[in-house]
Amino acid sequence: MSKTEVKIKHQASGKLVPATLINGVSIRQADLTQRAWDEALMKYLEGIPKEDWPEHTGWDWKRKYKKYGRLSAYHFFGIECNSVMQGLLLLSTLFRTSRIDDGKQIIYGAYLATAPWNLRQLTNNPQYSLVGSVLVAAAIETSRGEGCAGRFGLHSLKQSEQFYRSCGMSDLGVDGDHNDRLRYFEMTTLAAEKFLPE
Amino acid sequence: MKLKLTESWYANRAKAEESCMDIAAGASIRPITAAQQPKKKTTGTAANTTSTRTGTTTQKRVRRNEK
Repeated sequence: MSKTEVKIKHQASGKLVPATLINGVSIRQADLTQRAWDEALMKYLEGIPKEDWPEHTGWDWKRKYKKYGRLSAYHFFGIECNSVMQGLLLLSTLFRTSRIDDGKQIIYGAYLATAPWNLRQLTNNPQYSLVGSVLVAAAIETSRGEGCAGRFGLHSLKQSEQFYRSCGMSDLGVDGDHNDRLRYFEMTTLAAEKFLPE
Repeated sequence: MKLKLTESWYANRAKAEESCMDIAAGASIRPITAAQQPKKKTTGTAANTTSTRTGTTTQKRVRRNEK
């Protein structure tokens, strides 16, 4: 496990606060995070019609850890602030190729989510922002470390498409091969350089 | 991981995030078994531990042997 000091934005004060980017989230951390997020979700979802729930409401990070967390081809990142996980990212380095730069290897953002209390969809007063941006930066850095020059791809949930566009990722449209027919986004080397200069 | 984020980077990203609802992304990946995944690097030299994923090293060796 490695830790990197980063910052995220505390929305109420408008100030950047210290946080820790963890590469190698443990099963215990995944479990504690799932419990904390479930508890918060239950509170936020009261009174919200089911069709308006965030699409990733049912994700179980402990289960994802059990499935992928111990495999060397996966990187499990978390951002911790105030002793609580504010966002999680599961990256796959299994061989995949770019749909833009023909034949060039990319890494893949398998799952990415922020804590329920940071979701604008659930609350008018989200606690922290920049969690997603720091996780995208971590994905780019991991890609560079794997020799993929910043390239990475992911399938975005509908509610998050605007965020990935804001990162400069290319929207390659609905992926007919995806189980849920999500849109596929890819970060090119050029876009990665713009987002996070080396 | 050498992740160096500057104050201006945080400021630019905070502005960009203002109009975004969420950050979630979900895969369509099939679960892989431990047997399918690349082996972890052991104590071998750099020369014989490269590209276990792509098989590049293996292919080069085969070609060399064919000569």
